[in-house]
Amino acid sequence: MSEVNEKIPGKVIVLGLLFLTIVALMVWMEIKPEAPPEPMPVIHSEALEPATAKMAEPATQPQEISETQKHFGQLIEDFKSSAPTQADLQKLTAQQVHYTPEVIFKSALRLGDIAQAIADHKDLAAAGLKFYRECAENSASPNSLRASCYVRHEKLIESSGLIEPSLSKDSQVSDHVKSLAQKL
Amino acid sequence: MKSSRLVATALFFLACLSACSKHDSSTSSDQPDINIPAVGNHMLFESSVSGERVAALNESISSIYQVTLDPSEVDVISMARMMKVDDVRPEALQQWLEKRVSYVVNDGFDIQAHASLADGTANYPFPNDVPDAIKGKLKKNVDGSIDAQVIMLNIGAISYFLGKYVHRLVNLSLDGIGVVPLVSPRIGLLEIGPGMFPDMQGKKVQNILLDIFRAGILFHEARHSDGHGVGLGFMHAVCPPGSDYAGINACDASTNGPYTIGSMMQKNLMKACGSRCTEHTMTVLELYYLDLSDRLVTSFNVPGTSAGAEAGTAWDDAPEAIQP
Ligand SMILES: [Zn+2]
Repeated sequence: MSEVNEKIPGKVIVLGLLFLTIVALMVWMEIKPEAPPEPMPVIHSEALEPATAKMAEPATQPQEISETQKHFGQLIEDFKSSAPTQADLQKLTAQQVHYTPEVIFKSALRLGDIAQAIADHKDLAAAGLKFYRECAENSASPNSLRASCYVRHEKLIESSGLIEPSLSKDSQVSDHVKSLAQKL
Repeated sequence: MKSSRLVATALFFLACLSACSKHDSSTSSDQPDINIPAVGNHMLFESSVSGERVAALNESISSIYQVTLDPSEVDVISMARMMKVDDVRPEALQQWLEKRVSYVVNDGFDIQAHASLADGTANYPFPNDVPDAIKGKLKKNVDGSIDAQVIMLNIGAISYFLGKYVHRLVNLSLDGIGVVPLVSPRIGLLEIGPGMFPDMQGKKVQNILLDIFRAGILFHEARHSDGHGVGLGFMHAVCPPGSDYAGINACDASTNGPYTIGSMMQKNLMKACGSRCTEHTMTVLELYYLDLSDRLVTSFNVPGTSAGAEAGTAWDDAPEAIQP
């Protein structure tokens, strides 16, 4: 009880001040409330957090998700538009591919951006799984890229807890890609 | 209507006080560097190598000390066995590296312009053995360097081999260093280039990402300083059909060659980096590892390889040297 009492007053003051500011603003703007302000009854200890979340959800959640997902979609587009095919790699010279070639180097950086975004925003997990699956199944892609997406897909299933079939039984992923992924 | 919108907006700000600030603090551009105190090394750089590149390679070697390997890890044990080392502490790994890489020159290094042949014939071991990778591809003079340079960038091993081919000791004159007689591939002369210093186009990554990437390359090149006879320099084989690099000399016929050593080192350093490496760094290094570890050919892919350097086997890494 004492713990609750310690936490509540701060929030009550903030909400109270906020409400007073809004009312003052409305008075100043000569706006007559059409209905009693909805958040008024929720200034109580246990009710505060859930009620705020419920109120916030319809107004803010879609906007936030769309911004994050829009950015994520752009990362995927950047990756897709620059990732080489296996045929592209085979046109390079021995010197260009002696170490990891530049095109793979850059694709790796982009794949890293995607993985980082998923790690930072858990709500991207489902979209991430979809992207990784498509990437691992793309038979025109280099084995290394496909194997990397395979590994990331399987790790994401584990970390996200989402119910999603493993790629290990996916017939569109070659045995070579599967065994390469096992090296990690 | 207007008032309820105002209230909702106010509550949104309130709800965002904690949630939104947390959200913004971990963006994908957060790639914090790891503090890597400088550790000395014995590598000598030709004067044409830029200070930036020297610093990057020095940092890469120093980074080995920041991601100490676990000697009980299966992958570390396997790598140590391949490298024939009992100790995987940073000091021991650096020592292994420095036995094989002593000099560094810049990309575009012209062997012909820097080479001179010593008087008299030199007594090379395994005089009739030519690595499969360059059999029939070399002319009997130092011009052959151009062909060999696309197979590996370990100029020391190439120059040693070219001397062996004409039975004369090759001396290389290096700006700022002096004349280096190539009495063995173990002289360790490495050419660095864009492959090691890719254009980042202003993208910020963790320093450890590039350090581990470069460490893998250094250990790869170090392996080119090993081997003898047909296995001299562990030269790269043509990749088989189905490979990402099919038809290109960018694979290893040996199971203990440069690609295996370099990629295993990279993998072990990456694993040891643990939570200090971001998700971005881990993902990038994983892909590099997968690219490099998929460079093995087998006896099935390359039948009829020479005795002592059969595809799909571990080659003898004992280096050769000119005999007195
Ligand atoms: Zn090589």
